[in-house]
Amino acid sequence: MLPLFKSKRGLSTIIGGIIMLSILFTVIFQLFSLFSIANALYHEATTDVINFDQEVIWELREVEVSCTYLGNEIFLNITNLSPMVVNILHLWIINESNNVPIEPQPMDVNITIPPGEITTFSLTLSVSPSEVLIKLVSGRGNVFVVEPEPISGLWFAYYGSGMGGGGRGEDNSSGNISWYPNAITVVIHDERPPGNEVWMYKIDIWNENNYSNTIYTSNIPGFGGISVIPVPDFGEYFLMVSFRRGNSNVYENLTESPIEVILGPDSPSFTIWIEVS
Amino acid sequence: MTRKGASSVISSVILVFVTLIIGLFCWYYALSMSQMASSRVLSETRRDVEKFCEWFIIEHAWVESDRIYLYVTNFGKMSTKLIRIYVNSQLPAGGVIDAELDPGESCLFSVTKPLDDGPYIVKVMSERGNFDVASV
Repeated sequence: MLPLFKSKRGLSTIIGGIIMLSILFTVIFQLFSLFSIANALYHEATTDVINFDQEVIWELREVEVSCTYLGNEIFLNITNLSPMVVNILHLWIINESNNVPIEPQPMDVNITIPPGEITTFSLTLSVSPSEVLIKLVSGRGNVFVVEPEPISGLWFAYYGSGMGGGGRGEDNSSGNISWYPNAITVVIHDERPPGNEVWMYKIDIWNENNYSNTIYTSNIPGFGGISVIPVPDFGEYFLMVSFRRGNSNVYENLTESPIEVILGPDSPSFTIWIEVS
Repeated sequence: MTRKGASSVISSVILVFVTLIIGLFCWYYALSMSQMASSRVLSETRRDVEKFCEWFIIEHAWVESDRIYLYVTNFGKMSTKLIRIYVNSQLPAGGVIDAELDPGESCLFSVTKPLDDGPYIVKVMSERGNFDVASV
């Protein structure tokens, strides 16, 4: 007789023991892999959430929005001082007095602002900008609310009999949203009475790094015109504005000497205002 | 071989067979219980993860005539199901909603304004138990 069969329980005990060990090992292995998977899931999710929360706070702290207006046209300057790309998805125009939006849906603007850059875009409203609040919603869910303020010039160049006073023309024409990267905005406001001759303006812009650009524009007397000139980078630029009468081919200087413009991350709202009176 | 020897072998074989049957049954039971517990723990983990990854906001809320309007956008990476809108902790008419918003999707809701004067605290709640609050 084989030694294994000497005791009736010998082989069964061994088999039972093996099965018990197998149960223990498989269950323990399964629980171990379960904890690993659950731990990995939690770790990944918490890392994502912490990073996202950090980005949300960072965006809220490092993104500055300012808004100016001229007539019914508003100019939004968004400065992104954070190291992340910021997306502005929605724009609300809200009646300041009763908090009711002009439209029940926001505008889909979808503007991307690279780190350290300023974006300007303009928009013509159907209501007076002084009566509205502008609310911008970013792709991370941050909300920026700004109150449009009347545009204020940094430099003035006068032509003719001195500074023109009185009301500024309002441009009620509708327009599409357009946005610009780094740009210098030149506002030429022709305060001569309507009906006068239309002038053509030439804006020369250059810097010391061999960048130069010339923009031509014209205004109807009594109205303001805005030229947004994209420039390659922050830095120092020079501007000269000249004009041409309708019956002449010669441009006369409107600015007496080149205007120095320093565009940097700390100058989000950069507008040169030239009044023609 | 004697009769006593043969019955001893047979009883040993039967005992081994019974041990195998009971052992395998225990193994199967333990494995299935462990698998059930694992899938339950994993699904709860996934649900927890989804809950704290959910991210929706009330972009704007306003009162117009006798209704309160809310514009809600899902900024999270997964879809969200909105189920309730509360105004001042009460469930107004139109407060039971069933709106599934995909990532980046928005929806405009409106509920009946309470009779008392504002301000109103509006709360939108999702099926996962998250909420956002706005004051109008």
